[in-house]
Amino acid sequence: MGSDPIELDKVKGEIQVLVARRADGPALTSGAQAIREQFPDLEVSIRPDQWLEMAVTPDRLLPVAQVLRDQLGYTYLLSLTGVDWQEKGLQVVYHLQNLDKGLFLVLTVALPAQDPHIPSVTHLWPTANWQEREAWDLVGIYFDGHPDLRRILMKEGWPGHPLRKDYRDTRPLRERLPKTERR
Amino acid sequence: MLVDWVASLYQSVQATFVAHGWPLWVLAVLTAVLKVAGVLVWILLNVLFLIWLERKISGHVQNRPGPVYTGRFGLLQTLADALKVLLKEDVIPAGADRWVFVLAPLVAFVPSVMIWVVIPFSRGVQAQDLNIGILYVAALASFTVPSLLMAGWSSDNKWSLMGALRSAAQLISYEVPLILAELGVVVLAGSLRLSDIIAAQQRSVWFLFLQPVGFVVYFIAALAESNRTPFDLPEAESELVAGFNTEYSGFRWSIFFLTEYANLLGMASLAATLFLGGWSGPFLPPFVWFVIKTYFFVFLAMWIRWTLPRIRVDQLMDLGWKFLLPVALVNLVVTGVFVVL
Amino acid sequence: MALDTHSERRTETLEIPGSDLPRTEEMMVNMGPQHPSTHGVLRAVLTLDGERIVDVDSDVGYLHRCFEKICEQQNYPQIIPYTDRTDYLAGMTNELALVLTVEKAIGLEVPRRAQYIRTIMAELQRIHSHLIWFGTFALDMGATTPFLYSFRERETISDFFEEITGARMMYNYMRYGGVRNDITSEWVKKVQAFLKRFPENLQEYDDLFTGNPIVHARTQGIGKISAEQAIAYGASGPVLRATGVPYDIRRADPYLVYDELQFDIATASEGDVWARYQVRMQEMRQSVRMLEQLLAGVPEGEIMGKAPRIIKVPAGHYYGHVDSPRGEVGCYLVSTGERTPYRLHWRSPCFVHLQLLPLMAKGHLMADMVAIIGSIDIVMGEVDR
Repeated sequence: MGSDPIELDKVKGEIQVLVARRADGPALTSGAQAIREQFPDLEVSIRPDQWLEMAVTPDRLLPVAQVLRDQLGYTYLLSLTGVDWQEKGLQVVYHLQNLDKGLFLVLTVALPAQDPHIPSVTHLWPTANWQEREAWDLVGIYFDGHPDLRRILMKEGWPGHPLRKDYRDTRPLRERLPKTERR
Repeated sequence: MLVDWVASLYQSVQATFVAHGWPLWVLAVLTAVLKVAGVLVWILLNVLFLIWLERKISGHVQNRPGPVYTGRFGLLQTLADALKVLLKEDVIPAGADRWVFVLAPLVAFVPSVMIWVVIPFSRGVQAQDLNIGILYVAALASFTVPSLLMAGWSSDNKWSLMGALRSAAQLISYEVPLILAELGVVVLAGSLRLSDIIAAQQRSVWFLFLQPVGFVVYFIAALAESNRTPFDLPEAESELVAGFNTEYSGFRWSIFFLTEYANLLGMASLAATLFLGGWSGPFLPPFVWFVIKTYFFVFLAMWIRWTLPRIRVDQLMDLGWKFLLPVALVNLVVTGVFVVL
Repeated sequence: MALDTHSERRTETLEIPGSDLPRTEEMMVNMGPQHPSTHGVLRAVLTLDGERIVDVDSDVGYLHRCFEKICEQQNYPQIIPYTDRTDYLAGMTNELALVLTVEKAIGLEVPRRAQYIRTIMAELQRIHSHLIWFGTFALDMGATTPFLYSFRERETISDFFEEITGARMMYNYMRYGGVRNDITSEWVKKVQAFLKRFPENLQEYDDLFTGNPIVHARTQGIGKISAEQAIAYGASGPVLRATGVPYDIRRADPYLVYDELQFDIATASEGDVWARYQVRMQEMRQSVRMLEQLLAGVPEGEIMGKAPRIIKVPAGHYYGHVDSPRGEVGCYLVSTGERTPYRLHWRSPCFVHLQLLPLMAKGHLMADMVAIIGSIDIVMGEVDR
């Protein structure tokens, strides 16, 4: 299962965790199979770029994420993104990696356009903390159970969420310029 | 020689005073003023040169030429900078304690000038040959602490305050080994008078060879006392912005700057006097020897500054109390035992 | 942003185990956004007990220009120069992240020569960026001289970039399907000559800085994190490798021609500032090793593949990542088949690494904070995007 870990002679220094090279072929298929065994009702597909992909509903996110991390070894959260699909709702995309087996997984969660709530995964992957704050700040997704859901890139009290497709800067033109450039 | 000429001039002036029945205290005041003026001119000229030297040395250490455009070899660079600094707006922060803020640079500067009262430039050329010379220097050196505390406190800035507290801790900690190292020399010479110490070295050898450990302790402690890297924590630029002088600008800032170099020069000339026999030396005139020895230490300090990183507060304290102090004490005891035997 | 929750006075005090020192009040200090060693406009709100750090709350966003929103309005070739400006010290690798993702999405073939040139540029960029890191790290530690030494070598590499791309920082060099300009054999010779003498320069840095006992005392055991913490917090690049995890995208998910190169993944096991320092110094040596292999074997051929005149990415979503000098730069591209991306998310390593700051800094001194920030090697342009 999985391709061979990086040979030790290629590495300088002490090793705490072995990291596998990207899995492909049978290793990838068995990686997909392992997820299917855990969640028979969820569909796991293998993308042409050798990523695994699965979609869950927001209410199932936490149990699925827990199993993914603890039993299937997806300990590394690469990236967390919020996407605004306008009338189709919003979406949160998790990119996960299994370091031991070299498996990469895209986990997508679709959310309703109105009042989008999703459980926070900060307690599973602490790195999600700021990334969720960013998704809240820019896309406007509520992460329930997040320890500190403040705006991070925009300033506190900013109206709207800039990465929404329907976002319009409501300020008058004059105020959008920095003070030094105003006439 | 110049010294003899000055002495004879003084005697003839004194004779004139006596002949005309003028009060002698006028003469005393006149000579004191002249001496102060002389010391001030000496310090200011040297600081001008030192700043240029520092920039040149740092330049050459860092693979670049240093100042080149202003005057020959960039010699006028410091003058240009001084002019710029003087023309700057004098800003006193709104929250500052005005009087303390204004006084702090002066309180820092005056002791650094007063040290020069006892430094012997040449045979007999000394503003005042105090019999408690070393004690006097040590007392003045502690004056830096209140001035930095004043600067840090009055600025109403947390960084300044932290810099000031650091400097208070640092200066007090290093005062002790510094004085203990000086005491080793005093024990050997049997006098606190600086001219006696030089005379003692002329009789035997430079105390550098009799007091190598004391010398090392003195030099490290002196670097710390004059806030030079690796002990520049009070003004650690990358940590505390600029430490106690964060809020200072223009003229007031330049006085702090001046003080720093005057202190460096004072420490260097004291080191030359205590450990390298002061102005004494063969062939060259005594004054030239004094300058050479002083600048040797100045160069050493600059070289160290541009090479080493800064140490941390706790490490600084450890070095002072756990290493320098015991070493200085043992050194003093061993010296004492030798002298008694 | 407004840290309202912190503005009221804190009354809890630091519990020092086994100590009966009197309880003292804590001080809040604003480190930045204007501070000499926060590498730009990072604002860290420190809660200090004397000089000891009790809490760190970093505040970012001062350089935010909503790069991702801008990208939604530009067509694909127009995005490339914007990526230069995220991590402005490693433009080449940022461009690579975008270009590789788009190429993967539309299935563009890139000629061998272009791949070699890209790899050469990426590794030169790594040395280039690590040199700045070395200089500024030394500056943070209070040593001014190493900065000028490292900039001497960096200048040479900047000249190499300038000669080929026309720019020293914002290259705009990568193209979908290849690179913009070809390299010449004279250029290759010049770079080879530089690589021959660069190890001596590294030795010079070691003599000047690495071997200094003050540096050891100030870096060892400072800002320590474990491998588990690093993985949980999504650390990547040298920060992760310094905890003993040999995670290097160049090996774990090979791109360009890294598969054919001989190199070691530099790791250290302690996970402290010193380990991160060593990893980066080692990485420069490994980059030299890679560049020597690359320059010796640049194949002849085209530098541009057959890219369509108008780039349209098929509908779908794609994630591409490269190992930048700072860590994993990820590019998540959502397309609806238009000439502009529907959504482009930039996963920047520094943004993720900054979360580790409280973990690393708590319990250490003010002065260590500076060393820790320096050792993460943050670029605020990338954090705020």
